[in-house]
Amino acid sequence: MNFAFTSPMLLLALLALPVVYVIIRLLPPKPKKQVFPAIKLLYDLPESSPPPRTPPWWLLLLRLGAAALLVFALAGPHLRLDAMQLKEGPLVLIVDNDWRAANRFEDIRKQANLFIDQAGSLNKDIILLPTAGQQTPQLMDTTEAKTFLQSLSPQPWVQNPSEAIERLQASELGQQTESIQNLIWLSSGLMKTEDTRPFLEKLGEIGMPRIILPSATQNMLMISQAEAISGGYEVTLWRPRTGAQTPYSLTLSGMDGGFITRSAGQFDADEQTTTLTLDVASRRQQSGQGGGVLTLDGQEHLGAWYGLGELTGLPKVAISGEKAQDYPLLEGNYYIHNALPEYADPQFIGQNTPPESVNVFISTQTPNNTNDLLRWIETGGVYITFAQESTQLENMASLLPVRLRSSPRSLAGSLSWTGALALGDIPAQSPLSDMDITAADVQVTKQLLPQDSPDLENKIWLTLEDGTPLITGDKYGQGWRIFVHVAADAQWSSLPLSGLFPKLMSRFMNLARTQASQQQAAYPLPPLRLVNAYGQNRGQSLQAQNIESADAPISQQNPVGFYGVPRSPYPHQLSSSQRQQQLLLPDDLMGLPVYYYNRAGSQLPFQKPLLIILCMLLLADGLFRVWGWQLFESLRHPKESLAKLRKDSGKKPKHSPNKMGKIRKFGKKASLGFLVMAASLSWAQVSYGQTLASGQDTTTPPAGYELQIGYIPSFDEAQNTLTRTGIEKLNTVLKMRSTLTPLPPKALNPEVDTLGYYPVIIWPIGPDVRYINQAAASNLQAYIKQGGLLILDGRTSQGENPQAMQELLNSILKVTLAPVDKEHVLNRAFYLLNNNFGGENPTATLWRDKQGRLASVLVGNHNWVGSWATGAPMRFRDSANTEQAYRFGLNAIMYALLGDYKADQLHIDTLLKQMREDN
Amino acid sequence: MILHAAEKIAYKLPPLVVEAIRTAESMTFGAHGRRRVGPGDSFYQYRQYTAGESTHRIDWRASARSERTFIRENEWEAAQTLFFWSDSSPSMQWHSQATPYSKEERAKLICLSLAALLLKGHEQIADMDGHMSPSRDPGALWRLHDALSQAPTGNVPPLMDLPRRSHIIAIGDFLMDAEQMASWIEQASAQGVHLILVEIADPHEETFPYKGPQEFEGLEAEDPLKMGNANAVREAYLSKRQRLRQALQASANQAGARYYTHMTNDSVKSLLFKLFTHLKAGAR
Repeated sequence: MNFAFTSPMLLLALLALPVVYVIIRLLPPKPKKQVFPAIKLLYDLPESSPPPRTPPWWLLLLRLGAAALLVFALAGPHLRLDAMQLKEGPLVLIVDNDWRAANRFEDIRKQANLFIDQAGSLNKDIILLPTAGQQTPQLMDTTEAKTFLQSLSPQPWVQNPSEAIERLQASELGQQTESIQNLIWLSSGLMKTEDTRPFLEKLGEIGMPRIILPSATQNMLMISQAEAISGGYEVTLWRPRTGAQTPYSLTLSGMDGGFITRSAGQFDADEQTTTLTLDVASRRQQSGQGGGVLTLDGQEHLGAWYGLGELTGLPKVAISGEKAQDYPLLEGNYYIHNALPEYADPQFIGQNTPPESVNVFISTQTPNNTNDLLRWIETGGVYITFAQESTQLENMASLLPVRLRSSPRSLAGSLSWTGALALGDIPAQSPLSDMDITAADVQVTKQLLPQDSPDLENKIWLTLEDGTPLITGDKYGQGWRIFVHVAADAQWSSLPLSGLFPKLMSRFMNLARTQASQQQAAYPLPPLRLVNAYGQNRGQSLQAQNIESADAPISQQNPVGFYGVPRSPYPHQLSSSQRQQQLLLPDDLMGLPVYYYNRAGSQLPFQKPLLIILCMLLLADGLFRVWGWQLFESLRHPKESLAKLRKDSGKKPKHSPNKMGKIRKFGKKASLGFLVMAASLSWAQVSYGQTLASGQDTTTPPAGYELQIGYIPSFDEAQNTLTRTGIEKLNTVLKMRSTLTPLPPKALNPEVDTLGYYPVIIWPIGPDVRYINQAAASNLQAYIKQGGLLILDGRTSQGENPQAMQELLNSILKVTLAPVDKEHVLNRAFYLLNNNFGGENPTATLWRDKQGRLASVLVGNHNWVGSWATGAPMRFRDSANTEQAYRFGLNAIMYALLGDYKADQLHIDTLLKQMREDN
Repeated sequence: MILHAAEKIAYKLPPLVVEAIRTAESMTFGAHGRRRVGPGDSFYQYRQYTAGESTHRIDWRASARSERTFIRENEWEAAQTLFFWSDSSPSMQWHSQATPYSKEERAKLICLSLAALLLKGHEQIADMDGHMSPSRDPGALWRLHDALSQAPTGNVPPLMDLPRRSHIIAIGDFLMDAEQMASWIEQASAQGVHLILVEIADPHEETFPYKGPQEFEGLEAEDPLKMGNANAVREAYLSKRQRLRQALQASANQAGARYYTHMTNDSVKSLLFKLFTHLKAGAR
């Protein structure tokens, strides 16, 4: 380490210091001027002394110091760390650039640049040897080497660095040179222990290597393995360097990048491996079909990229019997079907035994052959059955967790003493024990009771208030037998009608052992979605080829990524042992000279701290100028001046305050404050660098959750004004014709704003549509998933923009569309529209997204906002199309607020009856 | 030109005069009538006309109401005359940071307040420079204000021939020219007039809070004075001031004059009260 200046010639200016000294001495601080009428009395006072000719010694020192510091700082002082001298001969740089270098490739590149510069100043030839790739080594000059270096990037595969040396030896160049003096290995710092020694020996064959390692501060975490378990994954994490407690967060996203779930945890101190259970079952709605990717946030390398071929599958559900049709409210299957989670698309089967592929079987019938069913349960099926009037107990005793009494007991009947029973509690050993049932309002009037048996206690999952079981269950083999002691329809109890029922059903679903199916991959597998060395999607690669067999290594031809077809993607990724790379430590390197990135040959300038000290000195000087002797005196006699201060503050002027004096004082304080602030600001900027300028979330939850329609503005101000006017007029219509009183529309920035406050967001897609970045895209996706309604209008008064619309739907929102048919609720949510949606193009098809029961995206080509804006809702003189556009707006908002309430025909009888009575 | 001056006065006058009136109004002056017929402004009695008197004196309106003929007689009012002088030299036009009032402003305010008070008691007021004749109508206060503003700058009141038993009220920062002042007191008191002296000082003149290197400048073209540490001369300055004041007070005592000191950050009212009680005692 040594000390140097970038421009040492400037130090000659220090010679001028004596001159500065003389000048400062000649310019003592000027006495303060003071007008004083009683000056006559001051003449000839004996104690009067003339002002000093020279400034006080400390002020002199301060100013001389400031001048000297300025010269020092301008000369650009810096410390040179780890000076590395190049020897004779060409410079050979071995650059690690397989996946292991991804985390620190910028360091490697910077360091290589430094060496190339150094070699350039000594007119040396340079050989750059990247470890990943097949390039033939060549002699290069500085410019060529820099260009080549710039083209290098970390590669998403594993390659033994020895190959690079072999390439050099095989080339003409290697055969010419004897021993390389300037051999430098820019190492990624990660290597399997068993590979280290052979590689170092290989290096020794061609010369005397010097090794650059990353400084050990970087914290790398790897996903070592992810094992599918019931309802999720057990993920094993590994880190090469144990040490302090380290938090991490693990993200599961779909293969296309859509967020699914995230979980956080931490490595305890000195822990090398940790495991985490990731719950996917509760996020099944988001996961959908296809593969998934596990990544560790903040770790951008392939060690923290884990592809999952199929997400822990959704349980496949079968229900015995027919789908309820004629009198649905009397059929148990109707309630069961409706209580199932949305993702469970059950098949109705007539037979007693479900096929192997089914995970959950719900039955309301008595099976005649129990053996097949028992075998199915043993292999991991979940069998759920309900009590019913005609349960033939002797036939199905083996399928039930408990033995039952032959006849049900009636509660609240004309002959019974007790009334209907409510829910009791959940025993501690029950799998449902963490459920909250306090809010559930369930009344049971009829129930099948179990016979007493020693193990009955352990099988009760949920009791009634008198302690008798409502649900019993036990584990059988690898599967579960579950019995609900009431019928699946509403005649025995109100359980099927209560909100508890769907929750119970989804709990039962989670018991199902579902595993990623280990289907046989059909080789060869074509590349599907490849990633770069940072674990980001990079789409296709020209060099990537089909995977021919299961044991194909990760190589340039088969880099990391998904292969196969979209329906069943196959992740081709680092093996668990390839992920567990050790850190290279200086001790392992057979005594070879070791240097560190960012330090070898680099400089630590400290001009900025010097300038800061200079600023502080000048500030002190300024302080002296402003307060001068008073400050000096108060430093010398702090008590006295304090007492004076107190006295002064206690005495208030009796009439109007002395304004000028106050302003002057305030001015002084303000200027001092400003100086301090400026100094601290410059300090902050030095220590933290530039702060990120980013937008602010401008949304506030509307008071009282009133309705507010949002819109996404475009870059065209005229269009924005039109949109705003249009929505305001629609608001007028809403106020006049419904009970809604919406707030004025709100322009939204999807990047930062909380979209969830706005049930409806209108987005005209015109020529000047705004760009959507990643943050905005995920925000919009979340909005759609949460159940918001996004109305996209492909026609605006400014024109159309089909490309933008295409891209928005396919790549950003990722929705598939279906036309809105005449039966759709949107056609009758408020007005009967009959597929006439008004606007400029009234009969154009209106599209909605296909996923889910309720549409979250409506896509039209009608220029609704334009029509709304031209209308005059207060005067009822609008053209038919404008009126129809308003009606569409009303329907869309009703649809967003009430969902498919109008499609619900449950109360139609009552409603019709009431209408008749009213008439 | 006159208009311009008038505007200037109108701008300056009201607050000062109004404040003076307000201060004066919180006190009352004893009734001053002589309770007999004589030259005066206010009505005293009606008397029956006797033959031989000038018919000009008949009050026809009163006579018309009855069968007799009346003469209207006014009360004889003999008032004292008080002469005001306030120092308007440049050294008076200064105030320190401790107070918003310059010494001149304060001196005028004291003059006018006292004058307003005296006018309520039907005393005559006048200035020392002869800009207004002694008078006691309500407008006299305004005229006194004008007269004080027009007074020539001088550190010492002029010497005038004044009626015996009249009062002179002189206000200024006497310490600057203590010797001249002392000789004026001697000469004026020799004329047999009552002297009331009010010495005005700024708080900073009294305490001298300056420290460190200072360059002092006067207001009356004195030579500037630089000193290395103002704090060092503080004691000397204050004792010199004290000495001068004691000397002046001594000469005032000798001449039978009253000597008050007033700081510009003190209340006007308390001084006014002192002056007023003194004058009242003298009037009896």
